[in-house]
Amino acid sequence: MPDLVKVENLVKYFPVAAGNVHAVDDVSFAIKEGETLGLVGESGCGKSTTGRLLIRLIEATSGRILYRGRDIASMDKKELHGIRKQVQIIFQDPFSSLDPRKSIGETIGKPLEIFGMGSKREREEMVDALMEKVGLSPRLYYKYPHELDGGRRQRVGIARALSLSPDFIVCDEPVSALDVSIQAQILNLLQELQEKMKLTYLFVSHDLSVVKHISNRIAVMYLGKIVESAPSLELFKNTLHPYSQALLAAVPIPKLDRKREKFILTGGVPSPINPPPGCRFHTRCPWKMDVCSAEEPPLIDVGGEHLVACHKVKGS
Amino acid sequence: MNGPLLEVSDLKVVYKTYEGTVAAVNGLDFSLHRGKTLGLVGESGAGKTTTALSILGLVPSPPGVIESGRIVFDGRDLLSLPEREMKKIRGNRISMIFQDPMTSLNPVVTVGVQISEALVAHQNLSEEAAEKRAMEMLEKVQIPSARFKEYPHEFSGGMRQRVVIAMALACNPALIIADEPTTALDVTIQAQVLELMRSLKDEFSTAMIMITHDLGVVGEVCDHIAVMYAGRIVETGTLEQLFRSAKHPYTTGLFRCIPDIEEETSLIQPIEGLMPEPLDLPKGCAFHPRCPRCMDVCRTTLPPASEENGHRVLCHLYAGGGAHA
Repeated sequence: MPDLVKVENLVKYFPVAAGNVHAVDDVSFAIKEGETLGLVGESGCGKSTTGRLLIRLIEATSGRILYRGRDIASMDKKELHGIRKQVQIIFQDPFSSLDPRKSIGETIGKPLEIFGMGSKREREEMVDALMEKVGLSPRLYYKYPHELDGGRRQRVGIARALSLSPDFIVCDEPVSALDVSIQAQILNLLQELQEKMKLTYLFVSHDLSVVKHISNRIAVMYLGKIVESAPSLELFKNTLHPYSQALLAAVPIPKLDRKREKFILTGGVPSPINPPPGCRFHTRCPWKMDVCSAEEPPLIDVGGEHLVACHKVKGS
Repeated sequence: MNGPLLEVSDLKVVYKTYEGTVAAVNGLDFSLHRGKTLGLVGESGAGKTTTALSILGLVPSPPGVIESGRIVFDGRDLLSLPEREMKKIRGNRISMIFQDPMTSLNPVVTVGVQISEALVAHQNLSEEAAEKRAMEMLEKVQIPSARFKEYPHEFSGGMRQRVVIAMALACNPALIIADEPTTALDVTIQAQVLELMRSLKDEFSTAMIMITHDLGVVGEVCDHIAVMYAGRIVETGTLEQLFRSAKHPYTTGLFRCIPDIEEETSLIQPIEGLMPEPLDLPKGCAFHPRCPRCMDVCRTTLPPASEENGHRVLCHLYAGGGAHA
């Protein structure tokens, strides 16, 4: 499969009084058509910012975002408007991402209206079809968001994202605000829709077990950098970066005999305004060497599409 | 003293709203022994937090009303105690750790003063002695005591939660109720805080009720589990019993909802449907509309409790000792 999205040296700094927040700092990756790339990391690592940059909800400081070979980052308003049909986003919080004063039907139909698709009547039919697709009962058409629970609201968010038949959807923590039993329903729905509609996802989440479940490939971010990326199974079987290992070991598992060993990191994440020199993880790394605080490790290929940025790991 | 430290029986709590009466906790029974940890598990609206607030005498009233039940703590029924007596217990013998350390700490008071406050109020310590003890508590939660005079905003999320833990432990309580203490934290920080809670609990031999929606967190710290659904405990037993041989379809359903991070491929099987409307709970077993093994009797009759070696389940499948599983 060819690359649908290709990101090259993407940088986003947010200027604040104390300097620049290095939210995303020279990140490159590609997403193949029809696959799900999981972007995982803890709060403040830049994963959501990356998601938003990709569909240009915020402007990149520098770098290129190629969508089917065309650079989204440098498009003018008119070109961008055309692309909006093909790239969509599902937000984390189904409470704040829906307009409380619009009915469910209006919300889902709004993108169709903006792009002038069909007559009013035809649009209503399209909305009905979309609601059915995401498992919403048609009687909810005239209801308002406050009348729905979290799971249904998230289904509305999904229907809205699907309304223009996009190719690429950024899912920004789409299940984090939901209860586990509802979370599983939404995950299965997203997978079903991907198969049926040949969608490509960037799935942003802090939850490793969810990311592993849904992704073909996973990229781990720490303080604005990708520290490791690999096909999903490979990443879990052969975890190379010490941060990825710690992240994995930290996930509490509902099992009595866990296979993985305990590995608890000390300290917290340093400030993204003044990220540590060299490897950004060196302040918490149990393997730290002299070179780590002096030189930034490059992201090297260790074979089998497995990339890792660590001085301890030698390339193939 | 041998008996359980805490014994809750037939607890019923309702919220009277203008739309009707919501039965938040609906006949709850459980007990907790000294030094043990009970995980209270369930999804939003199950009644976990209301249970915690009842024990502390903090159910907001109105609209909350404790309709019946007994909460016997250390030999005394908390529900019959006057507020004056409750004040001596709250924060002293029973303390609470809330979910969000950002909102449970006072932003305009230094952390040191916040920790000493309880000591001055409950332990009759002079301000100097309380200050000294508060500094020790900070060190116990691995925060340098030099940060005694700092304000909550100067700490990271994980550190703030540690300050809250120091506050909760300051008076050496017999029971700590922790309501989703790590839900607001990142996983690597969560692992640190859970580790700390585990070791402090042993050091202080404090009993704990851990309220959480995360079965993984329960596995890390609890000895016993009680699974709540729509105001009732539907299954309870030791960690081993529930993790190895969960019986209630809701409990087994919860386990199947979580993708297994250790397996190569993971299948998840969601529980169909939604949590019932609290104003309009289904008749019979409240779980029956979502239950894959629902029988006729489930729609009409509340299932009786059946018990085997302390593993209690509220389900018609197991009624009469017959395990149809």
